[in-house]
Amino acid sequence: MTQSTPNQQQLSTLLGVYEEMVESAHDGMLLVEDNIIIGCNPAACALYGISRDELIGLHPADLSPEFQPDGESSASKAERYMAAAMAGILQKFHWQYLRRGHGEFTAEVSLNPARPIDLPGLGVRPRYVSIIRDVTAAQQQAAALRDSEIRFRQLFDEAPVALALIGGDAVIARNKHWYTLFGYSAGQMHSIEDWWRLAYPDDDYRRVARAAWDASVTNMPDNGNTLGSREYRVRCANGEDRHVLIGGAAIGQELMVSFHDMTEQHQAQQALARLNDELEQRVQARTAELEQAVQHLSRTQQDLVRSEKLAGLGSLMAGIAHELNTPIGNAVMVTSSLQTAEQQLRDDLHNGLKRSVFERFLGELQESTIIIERNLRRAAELISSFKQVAVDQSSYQRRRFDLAEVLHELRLTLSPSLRKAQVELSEEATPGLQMESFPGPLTQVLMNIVNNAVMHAFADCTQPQIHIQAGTSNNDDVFIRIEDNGCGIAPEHLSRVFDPFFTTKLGQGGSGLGLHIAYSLTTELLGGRIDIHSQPGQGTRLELHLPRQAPAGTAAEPAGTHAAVRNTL
Amino acid sequence: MTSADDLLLFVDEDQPPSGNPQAGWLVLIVDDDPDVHQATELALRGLQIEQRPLQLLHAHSGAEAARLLQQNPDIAVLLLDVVMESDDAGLQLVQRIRHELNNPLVRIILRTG
Repeated sequence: MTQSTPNQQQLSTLLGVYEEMVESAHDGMLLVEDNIIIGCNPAACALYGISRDELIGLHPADLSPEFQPDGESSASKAERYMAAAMAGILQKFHWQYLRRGHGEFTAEVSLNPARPIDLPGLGVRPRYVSIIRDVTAAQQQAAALRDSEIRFRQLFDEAPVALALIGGDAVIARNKHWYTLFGYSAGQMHSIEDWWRLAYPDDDYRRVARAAWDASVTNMPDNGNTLGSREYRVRCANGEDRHVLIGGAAIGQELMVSFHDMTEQHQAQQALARLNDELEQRVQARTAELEQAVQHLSRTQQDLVRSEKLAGLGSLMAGIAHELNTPIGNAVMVTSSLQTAEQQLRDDLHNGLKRSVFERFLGELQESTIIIERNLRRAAELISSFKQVAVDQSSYQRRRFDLAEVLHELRLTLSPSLRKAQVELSEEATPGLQMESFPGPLTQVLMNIVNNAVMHAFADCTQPQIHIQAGTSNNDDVFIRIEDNGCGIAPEHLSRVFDPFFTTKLGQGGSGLGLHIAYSLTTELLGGRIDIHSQPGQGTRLELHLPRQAPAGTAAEPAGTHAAVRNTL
Repeated sequence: MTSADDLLLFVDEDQPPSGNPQAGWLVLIVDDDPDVHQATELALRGLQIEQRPLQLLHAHSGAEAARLLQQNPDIAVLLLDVVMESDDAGLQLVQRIRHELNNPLVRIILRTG
């Protein structure tokens, strides 16, 4: 093989090829000799934004900003690269250039030493070819990618929820919150196995939790590649158990797992449950207290009703005492004067008795015996009727009786208070009206009604009158009508007169129980009903409708413990 | 001497006293119970005080007694029931006698029972 010198024809073809390669290149090319640009291709003109004529003759530093990004001046830095290149060493570096009218761009530059040319008279001139590639866009993309990675990293790290990134069996990353929440160090948690071992120390619970976790992972494809959230009890590094809601999503081949600490919610729920429990207990306790109070009130009311009845009995006894006092006092007075007369007669008999004296004594004796007899009879009658009333009152005795007799005894019983109040009581009863019922409670009912009238009806009445009428109604029931000519009852009071403790005379002797007792005895024990009609200024009429025979099963109870009273609470 | 079977022999009657019988002490009985009046009359019958008999007047209420006291200011003694038309009718009458009728002299005996 001999090296043949190309002929003119061949040379021209070769130059055309080279020219084509250089002129068509996408990268900018400069031929630099003695640090001055002596040639360039169109791509270089486009990069710098100037024409070929302008470019040729420039020093490469003329195309650069005053300083490079590292702070060194472009001139001195370029000098170094160029010196090295001219010494025959390939240089590769990034460089900031200026493009006319557009500012800087970053280029990847290589300075390729070229064959030195030996020019006659001028000596060997070192030359190199600078190839310039604009990498601004690529760099920007890389920077953007870097930024995005940093942002993602920050997002992951700073997220307000604990996160871990899992790839296969390895735990790739955990964020700050994760460390804060669980307290484990990165060194303790390399693999998922570490996690299961440390966070689930209880074997049984670990099995359960793991089975649940595996099921969630298996189901992910059906679940839009998300991990269904589930709550686990997780042991932290400090030994504390926390309730953690664990969920996640697939990110590529990796799994992003989130951990929500539910412990506080759990505690709040438990506190709420405890509070509910306590509330329930408090409600129960309060209810029990209230029930007790109601029972106590009920007992108190029964006691009051009983004492009211006893007080009625007491005033009855006081009335008896007063009523008995007069006839017995009369009898005692006449007896003692009779004793005196008898002694006088003995003296006279001893000293000489005159007929007239003896006859006068006989007259006095007759008169005295009449008075004594009449008064003792009065006393006896009073005692027997009082006795019956008292027995009836205190024992609720059920017996057969004549209604007219009960009314008569009522009149006797009430006569002291009626006389005192100057109330005229008249009664009118069908004779021989037999009942089998409770005469004591019936008397008490009538007494309470009459006493109520005496106490309330006659404040401005000149001729107070109460009329009691008794008879049978169509169905052979007994009616007893008690009418007065008093002031009547205000409509707003009328509906309440039978309520326990309703009184318009509180503190003036009214207990508010009189008509209530009358009502409860009538409706319960006596098996009847009680109606009241009244208009202010027109008097009041009360009507009792009673069966002749009191209902069976209403057992005789001692005064004041009747069920009707209990039922009113 | 006497024995159980003797006939009772009466001595002669006194001669009725001559001249005007002395005026009696006026005694007013006030009570709402008629038997009290009768019994009292019986008890006081024949009683003489300082050789003067008693002359009884009767009232059945405080109001009637006050009327009689006005008509007879020389009533010496009042036998007065307390409880009549009211619980304290007798006491009210005392008040009236001493302060309205201005009668400080009449002696009042309360029968309180």
